[in-house]
Amino acid sequence: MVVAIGNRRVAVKGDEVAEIARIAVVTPVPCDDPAILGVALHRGRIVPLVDLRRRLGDGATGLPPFLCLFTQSGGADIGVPIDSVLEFGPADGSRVPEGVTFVDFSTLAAGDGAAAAH
Amino acid sequence: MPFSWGRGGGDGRAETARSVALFTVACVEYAIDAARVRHLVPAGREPGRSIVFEGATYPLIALRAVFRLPAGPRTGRVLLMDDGAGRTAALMVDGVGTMARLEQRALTALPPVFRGHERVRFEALALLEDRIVIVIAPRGLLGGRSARAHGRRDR
Repeated sequence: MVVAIGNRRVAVKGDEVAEIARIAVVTPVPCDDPAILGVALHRGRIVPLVDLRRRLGDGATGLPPFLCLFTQSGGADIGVPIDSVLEFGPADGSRVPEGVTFVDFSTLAAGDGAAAAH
Repeated sequence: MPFSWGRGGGDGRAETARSVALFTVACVEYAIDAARVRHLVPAGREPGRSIVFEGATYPLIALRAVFRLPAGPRTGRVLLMDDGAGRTAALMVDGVGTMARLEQRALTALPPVFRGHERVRFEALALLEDRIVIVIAPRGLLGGRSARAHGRRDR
């Protein structure tokens, strides 16, 4: 799946995507990582939201409401604000279209943001 | 720092809930174990560098500063607490709410994406009705470097 985050096209593994939903309320959690927006309630669960735009050095996501891509990988759910879904299709780390940034959500969810995008 | 639920009433049954005091900082709701709260200083009292209550000194800790949040209006609301290990503090907060019961099933461990000081300061996240509440870890909060930096004794 390829999504738009700011001016960047980002590819994620389709099987890691659980849902795309609109989030209206974010609860900030004071933390050391400025790319963590806080947590949100999604389907009765508390899920951390990671600002991929900030993680990739593209500025920062604005205030909610925003569209959010939720993943479940490696037992850790996260949500990532996105602008839109651009296309569905096979996308993995080995076949990333030119000009598209591949993001490994399992690495991102584990907190290793530096290694998550390439 | 996981929750320690202990045993309830000496009858061998594990506790499934505990009492917490709720307070707010920058519009975010926090919970602290009610057993750690010694006193609530009435609103409007302008605190100094520390507060003496029943013979004990409680160094002031501005939670907005610890959490690196913008300074807010001085509400004068101060929550006196101990960490159960001999340390005390007077937490400057924006507002003090009610008591609540936190059920164990309402708790969520801090997700692994949180990897910094927050893992020491916070015990868990909790769902209280339809709100998310951050559960303070008293020992982590008072034992941390930031807490010491902002807790100043005046004597």
